[in-house]
Amino acid sequence: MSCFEVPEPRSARLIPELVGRRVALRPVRPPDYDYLFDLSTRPENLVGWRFRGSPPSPDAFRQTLFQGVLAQFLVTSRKDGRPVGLVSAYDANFRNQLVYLALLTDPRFARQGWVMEGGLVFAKYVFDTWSFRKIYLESAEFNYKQFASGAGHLFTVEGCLQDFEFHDGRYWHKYIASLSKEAFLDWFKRHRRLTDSSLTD
Amino acid sequence: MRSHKPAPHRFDINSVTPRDWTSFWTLVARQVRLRVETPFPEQDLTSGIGVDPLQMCLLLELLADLDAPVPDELVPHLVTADDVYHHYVTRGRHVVF
Repeated sequence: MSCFEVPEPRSARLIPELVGRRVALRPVRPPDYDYLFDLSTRPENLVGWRFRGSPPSPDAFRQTLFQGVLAQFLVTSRKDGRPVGLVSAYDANFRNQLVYLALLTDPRFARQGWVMEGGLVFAKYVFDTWSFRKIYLESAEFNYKQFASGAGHLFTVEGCLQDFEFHDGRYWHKYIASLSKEAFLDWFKRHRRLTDSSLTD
Repeated sequence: MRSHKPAPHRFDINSVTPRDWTSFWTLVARQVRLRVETPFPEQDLTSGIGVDPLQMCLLLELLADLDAPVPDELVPHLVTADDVYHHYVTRGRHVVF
């Protein structure tokens, strides 16, 4: 017999929201490795993505694909399942409740916002699933232009490491931006139509 | 069935007359946070107006709010400012044929 009042168990949403308006996130599977190797080493991504110009061997690539990664998903088209990119949360710091986020876009779908939509769905998933305070984005200057318009309303630029990274004959800045949980969830709520999977065009 | 009401700050999507070029782009510039308020028709969205992927998402959201949603297969064809306006005018439900 209990000596305290046992609370009634509460219901929870057990199936995470991994679907947006145009995209669906799904776990990376072994058959995706070749696609991801190609994607990471394509000329458009070779310098901008994590390998910074030094393509690894396919074996080394497979070994590092999940190194330091908390969660990552392939971003796919809801309509036909085609992969359009990758979203990844890495270097989780549970002591300080921080994590880093990275997006990789298939150049064939560049400038169409597919992976950005996947990134927003993914950030919501990360905040829903772990008790992080902030998601950090680290970006070289030449990549930052891909999402710079979000500064001040979607994310905050917390720092800029000047002349940090060498590329194309010169040094470039590195931007450090953060999405705070409260501000992001408020932004996400206001822009729910961006990712609402119940809406179809 | 759409399960979400438009946010209160949105404009009137029941308007029968489509907005003119200037009014449309003023609205886009405000909602999508563009640097250019009234682009030239042939101006490229990315290289000319500076639309980044995040702004592309917001632009697609706005067009859907204007009842001119863009099907996936048409998104790559929105290259210039004129492409966007043409889509808005011809695909929006405000058009009376």
